[in-house]
Amino acid sequence: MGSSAAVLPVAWVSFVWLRFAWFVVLLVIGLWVLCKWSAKARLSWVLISFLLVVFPGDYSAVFQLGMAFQSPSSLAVLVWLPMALRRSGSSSVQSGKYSFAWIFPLAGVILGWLLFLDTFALLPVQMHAWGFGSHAFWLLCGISAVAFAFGCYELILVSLLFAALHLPTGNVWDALMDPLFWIWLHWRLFFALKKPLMTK
Amino acid sequence: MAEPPAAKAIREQNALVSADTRWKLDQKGNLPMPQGMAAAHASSLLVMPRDHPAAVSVFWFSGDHEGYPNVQIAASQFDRSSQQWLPAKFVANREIFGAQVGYSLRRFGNPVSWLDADGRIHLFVVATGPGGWAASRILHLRQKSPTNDLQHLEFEARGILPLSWFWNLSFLVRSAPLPLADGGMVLPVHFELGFKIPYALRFDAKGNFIGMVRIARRTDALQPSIVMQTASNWLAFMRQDKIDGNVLMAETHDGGSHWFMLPESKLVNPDSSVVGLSLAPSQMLLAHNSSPLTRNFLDLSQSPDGINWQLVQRLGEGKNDDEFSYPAVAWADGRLWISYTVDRHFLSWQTLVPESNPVSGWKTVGGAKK
Repeated sequence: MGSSAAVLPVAWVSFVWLRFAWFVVLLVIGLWVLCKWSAKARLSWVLISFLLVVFPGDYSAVFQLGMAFQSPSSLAVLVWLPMALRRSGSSSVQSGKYSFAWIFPLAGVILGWLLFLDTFALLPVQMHAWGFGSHAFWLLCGISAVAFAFGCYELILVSLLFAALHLPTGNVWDALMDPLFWIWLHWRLFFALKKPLMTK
Repeated sequence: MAEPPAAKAIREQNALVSADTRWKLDQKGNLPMPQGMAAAHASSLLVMPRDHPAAVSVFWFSGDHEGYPNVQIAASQFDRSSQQWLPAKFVANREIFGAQVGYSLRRFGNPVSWLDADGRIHLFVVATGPGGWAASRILHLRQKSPTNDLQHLEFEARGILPLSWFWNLSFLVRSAPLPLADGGMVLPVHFELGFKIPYALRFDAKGNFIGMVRIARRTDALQPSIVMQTASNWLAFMRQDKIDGNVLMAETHDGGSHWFMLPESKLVNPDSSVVGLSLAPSQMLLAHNSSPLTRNFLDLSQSPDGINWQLVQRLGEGKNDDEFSYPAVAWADGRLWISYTVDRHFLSWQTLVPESNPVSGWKTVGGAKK
């Protein structure tokens, strides 16, 4: 079996990452909903989100979210985390000069569709399986370097997380994309394309 | 992430059998059930080392009913000294391992067992999320007790295998792994979310997942069972997702790196699990349902090439709603061990031995893996 050997993350690292990643997702969703509320309300949501992910057992939000959706991708967490911090009132966090330009969501949407089709063996190549190998990692590094030259640092961080801890699953595609992030990117792409059309 | 060595299959015990070998029934009976459980299904046989008190371990899922919350993984061992099965005990519980992986495991299903190069038992168990079997993932457990005798056997979770991008849905396991010369193994699994697509997963000698390969792009092939012909030539026998189907076959010539489909076999397959075993070069066995449209008959057949089959033994026979299904086969202590589900309520087992044959005789050579 010819692919390079996969390396999966250590169990406890996956355990911690699962909680941190869903904490970020819950934070983003809650702060977006509460964006017009007081700072005190938004701060309360931060605490609630934390409790929802650390609470043990079946009553934990992570216990159910992990069962349904596994772990968000590293890229989703790194894109959404600055958004969450901005919603909380922090104005000092920069999300990257490239953010929400049409090319990033377009690339993500295309990648997600390829992975979705691959799931059902509708592509002639085995894309997900290839994501476990070293070639996929070096491709990620190459794309990260190019993106960094254009002011995008999130992919570099994804590469570092993957190299150091193999997060989230030891597969490069899972580090870059998850279905929820992919669905969100469709929405971002729509607005990114709609805005220039409206201004014309 | 170095390239793993090329996969070469190995026959851990060579039985001196041939196409002329006649088989006779040695022992049969029902496996012990965990106390109070009404359902049992999907057994997995594991050959134990020669110096172990047990010849064979068996794992299966048991509870009030398939898919019920109280389903757990049960185990028993065939004690060599008493020549009896030990009382069954539960060894895997979804609540305990859900807490270990960090999220809920809604239901448990098929277990598959394997002994790694260090003599530790690994279990691969179907664990579902919301959506039943269509939301299945494969939980990887590894023995944590210092010994693997039944009384002390305990497992810990290594994690859920990350096999699919789409929320890691939906993979299941059924058939025994194919052992490799490097101490690792190839675990046959399948994707099931509308389409049924077979895959082979590779693990190293310590049970670390190192890769996956799709066996076929057919969308109606599930529960592959991989049988070696030579170290690099393997056949995969698969269940077809239709009630009036045939056993599907695929082949690899390069140790599982690339697979291609073969024409459908002549063996009837009423959408039921088939499992194969290679006992010797040009001597393959297949346990399968041979009754069209039902699981009334369960047969053991043999073949030199995977194409031409002859019946060895009828393992189970019934009528109407009777069901004999989900077989498992293994070779240990000079005997062919077969276990299977009866009516989803209990498990039966048989051992067959080759009859003495003045032409070829019979003898088991080679030792069990330590």
